[in-house]
Amino acid sequence: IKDLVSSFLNQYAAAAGSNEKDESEVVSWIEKVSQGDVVKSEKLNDLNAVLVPKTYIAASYLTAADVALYAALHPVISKLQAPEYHSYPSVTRYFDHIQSIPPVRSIANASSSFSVVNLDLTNAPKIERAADAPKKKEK
Amino acid sequence: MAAGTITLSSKLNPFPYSAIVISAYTEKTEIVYDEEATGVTLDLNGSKIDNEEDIVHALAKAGGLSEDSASAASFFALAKTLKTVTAVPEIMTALDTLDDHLAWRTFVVGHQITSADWILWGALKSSTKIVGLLKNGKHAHLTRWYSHLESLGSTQAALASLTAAKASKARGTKVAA
Repeated sequence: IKDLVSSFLNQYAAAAGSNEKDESEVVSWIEKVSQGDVVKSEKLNDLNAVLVPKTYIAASYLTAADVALYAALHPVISKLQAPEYHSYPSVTRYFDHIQSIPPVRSIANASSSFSVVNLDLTNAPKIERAADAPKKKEK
Repeated sequence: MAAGTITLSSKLNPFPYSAIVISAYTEKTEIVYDEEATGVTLDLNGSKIDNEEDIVHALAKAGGLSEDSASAASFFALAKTLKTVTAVPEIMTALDTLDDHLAWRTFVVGHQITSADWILWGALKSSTKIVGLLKNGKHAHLTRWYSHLESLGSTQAALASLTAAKASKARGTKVAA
């Protein structure tokens, strides 16, 4: 993971964050990810909840924190069967997106341990939504 | 360097948001607000296009966005539908479909922003009813996608140009975007 992150930082200008706030978010996510808890299978639900409103983990654009999280998730996600990763839609969506971004793909390809994980999205289940609230107030 | 212009009035209703946001995103055209204009016109490399859907296709092509897959066509059709439906249950069905789709995908088609994202984003944005329904929080995945596209610097610039044009009473004001 460290190698992947540092080679990404070397190649990609915006990877460290483009302002101080983003930089500190990137640093703190890389730290969290490197401790290993975030990607434990029993914690995937929490990670899923964190990712629902986010396209990228630390900022509104791709950073080194995404590479770190992608790399940490890789061994976990690659072992899951469809029904398992289908219970974490946002993690699945996030992982599939990050692994497909060209600069991430190219550094991942340079290492032998990060092959593309094929995720079945065509047969993904529909999303469960809360039922309509009793009060009807729509404008 | 701008290869063309998009001319429109800030008062158009529904407002052609897709045209201005894809213009800003692809950086091929300058947005010109002419309050006398009755529609939106793209003038690109000498040819004029005045249908928003065709404008989005033309700018996507000029900007090198991938597009024209069969699934993109279905989202263009959905965007068109969204612009005409007014019944809340019908809108909700469409939003549910999009939410299901975007739960698993960062962007509408493929792994990068394409014309299908911009045609849909504009269709949602131009409907105050839809924007209001999104605020109910029932479509978390659709909202994530919608907010991400809105947060992009190019989208912010396009929206700022519109705000500036609305604020300015002068005709034919040029606003950089």
